[in-house]
Amino acid sequence: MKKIFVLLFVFILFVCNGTFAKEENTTKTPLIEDIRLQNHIDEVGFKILNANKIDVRMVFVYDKETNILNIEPTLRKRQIVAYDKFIKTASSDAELAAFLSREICKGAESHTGMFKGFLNSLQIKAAPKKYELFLDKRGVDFMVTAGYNPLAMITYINKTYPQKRQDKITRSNLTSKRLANIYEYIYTKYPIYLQNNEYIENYYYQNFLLTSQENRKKLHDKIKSGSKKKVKYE
Amino acid sequence: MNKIYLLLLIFFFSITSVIAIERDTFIEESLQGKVLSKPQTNINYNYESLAKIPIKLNITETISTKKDDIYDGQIVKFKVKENVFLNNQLFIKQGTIATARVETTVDRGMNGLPATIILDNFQINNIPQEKLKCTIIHKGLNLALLVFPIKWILTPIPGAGTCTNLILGGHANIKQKKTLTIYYYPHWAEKV
Repeated sequence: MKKIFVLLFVFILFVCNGTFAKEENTTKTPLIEDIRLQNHIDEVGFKILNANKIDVRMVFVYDKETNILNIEPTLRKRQIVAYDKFIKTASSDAELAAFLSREICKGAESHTGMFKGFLNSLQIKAAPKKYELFLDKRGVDFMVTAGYNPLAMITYINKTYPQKRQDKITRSNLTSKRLANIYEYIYTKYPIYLQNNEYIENYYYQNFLLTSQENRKKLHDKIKSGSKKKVKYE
Repeated sequence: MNKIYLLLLIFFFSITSVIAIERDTFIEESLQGKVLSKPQTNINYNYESLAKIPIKLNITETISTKKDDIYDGQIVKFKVKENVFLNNQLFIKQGTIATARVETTVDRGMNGLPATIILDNFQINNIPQEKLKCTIIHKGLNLALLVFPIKWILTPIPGAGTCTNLILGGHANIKQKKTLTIYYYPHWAEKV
């Protein structure tokens, strides 16, 4: 009888231990994954900050879900929050750098100007369309200085941002317009990346080429004519 | 025979997958044969040193967002305003020509948003970019201090607040008289 009790006790202990061990694993694994992601975001983010000699403080935070109460943390707290929905499409360091570069530029802008940057932040909020294109372009500059290929900005935006029907009465530009502007910017300032195009066989870059034929035609016409005027992309 | 058909089919598919790569031939052709240098990166840095030397510059020709002739990537010229000394020795002579690149511009906008010119990538006496801190952000007249209070006062009246949207900010211009200062950090790119 005693033997049966001992066996039962050992069995219960074994089962309990196994169950707890399992629970421990399931709770710890996501945290370890979060820490890994956070470290990676920090690494890329600080690399961009240092390379571009940005002498104002900023921090990076990884978060799973968008917190609607945390409005524009980049402008308010200079805290760049990398939500899952923005970084899950980043398949390389360069694409992660594309997301972070834009935000870093926004954060740096929020440090300058009157009232310790409050007025500037307010204006970025008041004119999001204008600043969206500006941030894309400066993001490209930041990426290049930090040693990333700026074409990753195109692939990242092409994958991440949807295409609205129109942008006349919205607070953001058409994604196709943003992509065309970035493409022209890279052609003008960093043509070597188009001459030795490492992304030519990339699916997302190919998709950009496929979907931007009209806009690229406009750029071709501009280059042919030698004009320096801004092109109205669609 | 079937095997031959199968092989031919596989061969055909492998070729079409190669043909399927779209290329921007116009851009490629326009860049073909051009000798392009890789843009400078800043990966080897050491920001320990505090020693910095100001370099004062005046632009040789006024630039403004008012005219349409300012564009991204434009190279503009500057003249060094005063002699620059390093360790009591003349380092940059007054009148030396320096160049900078217009990184980008932002047009003026509604609600008093001023236009912006961003200059960077200064080239002067072959000083490496890592040792220069030279991003110049120049803005036009910011009317936000006037616009936002009016907007908030008018907001209770339906539609009235939007009237301030019509107020545009000022153009950004860098005149010849304007002195810009960039900084040279002699020890920044030296790894410990």
